[in-house]
Amino acid sequence: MSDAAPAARPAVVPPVTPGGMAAPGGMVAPATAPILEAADLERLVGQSLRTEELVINMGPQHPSTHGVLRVVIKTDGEVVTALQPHVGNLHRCAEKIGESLPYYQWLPYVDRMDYLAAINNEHGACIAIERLGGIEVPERAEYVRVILAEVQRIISHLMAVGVYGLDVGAITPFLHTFRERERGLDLLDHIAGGRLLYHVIRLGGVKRDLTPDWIDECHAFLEQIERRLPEYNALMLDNHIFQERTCRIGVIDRATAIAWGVTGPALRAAGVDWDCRRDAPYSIYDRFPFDVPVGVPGALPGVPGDCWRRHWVRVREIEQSVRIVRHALRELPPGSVQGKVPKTFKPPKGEVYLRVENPRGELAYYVVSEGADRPWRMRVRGPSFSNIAVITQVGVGTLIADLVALMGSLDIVLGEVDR
Amino acid sequence: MKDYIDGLWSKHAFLQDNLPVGLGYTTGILLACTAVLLLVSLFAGEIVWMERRIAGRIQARIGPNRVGPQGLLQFLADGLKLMAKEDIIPSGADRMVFLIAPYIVFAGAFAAFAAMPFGYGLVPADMNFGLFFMLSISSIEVVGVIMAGWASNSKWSILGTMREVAQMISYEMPLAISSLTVVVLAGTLNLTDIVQQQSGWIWSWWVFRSPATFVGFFIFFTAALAALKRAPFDLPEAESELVAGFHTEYTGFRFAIFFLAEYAGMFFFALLTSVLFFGGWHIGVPIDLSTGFGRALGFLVLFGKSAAFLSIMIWIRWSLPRYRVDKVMYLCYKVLLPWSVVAVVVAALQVLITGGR
Amino acid sequence: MTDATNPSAARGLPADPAPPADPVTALAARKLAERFPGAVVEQALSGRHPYLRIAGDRIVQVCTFLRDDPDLAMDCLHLVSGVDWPAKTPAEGPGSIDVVYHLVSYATRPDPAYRKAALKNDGFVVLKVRVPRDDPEVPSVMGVWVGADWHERETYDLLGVRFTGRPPLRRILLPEDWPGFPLRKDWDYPVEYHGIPIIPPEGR
Repeated sequence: MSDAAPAARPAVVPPVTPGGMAAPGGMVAPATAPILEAADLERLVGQSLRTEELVINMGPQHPSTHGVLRVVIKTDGEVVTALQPHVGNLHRCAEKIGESLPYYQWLPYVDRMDYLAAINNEHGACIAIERLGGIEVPERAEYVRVILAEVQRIISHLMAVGVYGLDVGAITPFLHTFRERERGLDLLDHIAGGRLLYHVIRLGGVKRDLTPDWIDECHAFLEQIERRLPEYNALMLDNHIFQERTCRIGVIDRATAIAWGVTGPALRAAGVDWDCRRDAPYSIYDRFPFDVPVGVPGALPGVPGDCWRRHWVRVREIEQSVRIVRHALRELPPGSVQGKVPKTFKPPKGEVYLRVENPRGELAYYVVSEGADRPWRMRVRGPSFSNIAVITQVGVGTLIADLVALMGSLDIVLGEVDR
Repeated sequence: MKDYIDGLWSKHAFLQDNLPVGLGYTTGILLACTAVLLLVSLFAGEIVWMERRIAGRIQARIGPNRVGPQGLLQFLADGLKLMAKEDIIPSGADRMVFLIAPYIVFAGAFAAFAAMPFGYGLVPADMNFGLFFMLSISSIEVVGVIMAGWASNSKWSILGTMREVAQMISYEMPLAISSLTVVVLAGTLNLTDIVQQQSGWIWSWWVFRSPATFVGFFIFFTAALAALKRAPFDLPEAESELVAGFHTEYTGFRFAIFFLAEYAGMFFFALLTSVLFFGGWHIGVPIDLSTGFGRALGFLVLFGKSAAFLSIMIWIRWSLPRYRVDKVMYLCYKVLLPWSVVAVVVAALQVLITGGR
Repeated sequence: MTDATNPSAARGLPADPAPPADPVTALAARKLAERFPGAVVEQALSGRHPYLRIAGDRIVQVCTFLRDDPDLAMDCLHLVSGVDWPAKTPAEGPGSIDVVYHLVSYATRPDPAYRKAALKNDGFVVLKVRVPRDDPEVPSVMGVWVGADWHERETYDLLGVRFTGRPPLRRILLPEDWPGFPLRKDWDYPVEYHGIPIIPPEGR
């Protein structure tokens, strides 16, 4: 506060007892500055009107539940001046375990990383390991994998869309999207035996084949989704209050997104026209035509890169996934769904880096093999890791309510942040 | 009621000889208060049921339907549960303030019903300044809210409470001014007289009689939602995800008191809207409602209208997202307040132009 | 500069017909050879996993160049990982850790013909930096791509690689006071952590 040596200057105001007077703002004048002059007094009064910077902890347990994320926020009134996310609460050493288990035994760990889009994780892991080891996957298995992956994408986006409404205060759409999600989960339950974690995509193919019953149920599910999507839009995307809460909020522009390694819907909403399924296709995605929603300035509300745009991208992606599943079901070839995998699978020495388009971004596997039956290094790049890092920059200067909206729109899952 | 008691005393010599008439007054008052308290509590409990059932249907589920027929006794079960919970008082809290705060909120919410007409001649206290009384007494809740937030002994609880209080008292302005549109046109603050002026056909209801009251109704309803801290204006409460709202530290029975006060407030504003703007106990057809049957019918009609408004409040809550707190204040000061003032001016001009009422 | 993917040439036999080189890595290698001679100490251009091994002290220059060059435009750092290569015999020295950078471009897109090629490297450029295991230090590329921040923290956290020239490194996934760097091959479980006994898995 007052750092000038008081003795050198003439006193303009009566001296104060040393270590005495508490300023209106609650600060105590230091004992070494017994004499206050006009400038100090002015500063004191000015300071008493200043708001304090408070440090809040958005603790690991979070009602807007995205997992165990801890964000320490320093605020000046309502405005965030600095924030630091602390991750690592869900670290389960998947990579270290990967070095000590044979490849096929490690695959169930992959589901648990992004537990809301487990099939996509498995898909990526299997393709990566198959590329490393030179395993052929039959045609029908590829189609089944794509169908399951796109159904999982629809389910994951339904969750993201519904829960985002919850973050912003619209409680009802959450229950409506979960009603649809239940049907999708029943589909996956039918084929995989699980609703959240599946282990159905294995090395060389798929564990179980699709039955005609399943295909009919799937068609019914897709029809229901298409019927209900306009309802969700009416409740959220087109709703004036929702737009006020999300347009122009939490803008991640193109340059910021690419510099931070943000991928997925957040990158597309920022205006980068990139989707791994179309531009760097893996599996048989190059056979399915589909559109990629990109946030460009135009007739839509808000600006590219804001929360509204990310939400819009996810809703559009649901529509496109429905299109892909229909196409794949139409062209499903006959055949077996399991390729030939050696009993002890020992890929040759080498490495592979494969990225797949997860609902949350680009998941990548970096597998280094030394010719043994277990990998030398199994590194997983979770898209939410980079997506959540960006709030360190973008979150500064927002209001606290907007910070909640921003974090919800990034749609992170702590399982793949921490692995 | 005073007349009735006086009549009773004069008719029965037994009473005149043995008991002072003041005792009669007191008993009458106590009975009336108890009746109002029980009635309002019962209805607040049923409003909870209504809210949960309507919310359930909106959300593609059923809602409580087990306790009692169609789940109507659910609030008793909830009340029992809340009473059985442990009564926790935070260690650093200001004990006296902490204990009293819920009752002050409760008092503010329930005392306002003293001047509320429940039907023709069914007013606990027919005051000439009834509307003014009700709006002022319901402001006592604000004091209770501040006390509750203070007593929670948490810096962030205080700040959250201050925000809620700011919202509550700001919205009292458009609330009061928009109800003035009716008062200016009716020429009285007495609610019974305001309703009596709406007897007759449906177009004699105040909401249809003037553009000022028409606009005034919408402002009144919105301001009521905000003063009740209901969605879409419940950000201070919802942000208690991050920041503690005023009733976070309250458990068990004390929380039940806050809860009851909120739903009593909803009931209050639904009734007030019907009384001020939508004809009170009149059914839109000019028939005489002063007979016993007529009074009962009026009572039911009034409650039907309140139920309709309550349904609308509930419907709005479960359909819309929340407003951010700065937008809430913007809405109050820059939209509702100017328009309510304009409405009052238009109402006054209307009185001037049509020359009397 | 050795070409690590031509085993016949390494055995002294007539070289195998060179498999097609990954276009993006080859372009990067050529440009780097012109611009920063000596920065690329080893390269593998063809084969199933092309990469460029960069000298540790030149990594920031190389990365800046790769990001700003209009043809390559590697504007995204996809991943920073560490791979532990302990020495097999004590005579080989302390062993090394490879810090692996995966770079990709969103500005340019590999042409459709390339996509059909068997290599399927998706236009990634893989840079590797070898650091000695007993003193692993690499200059940080946070100034080139801000997103490197958390990846570098994770590599430090799990493998102990120190990145210099950036705000102080802090552990990210593990608690601040966790002993050792778990993803190293010679890391052993501590006996206890804050009074919680740690029981290593049996039979590994």
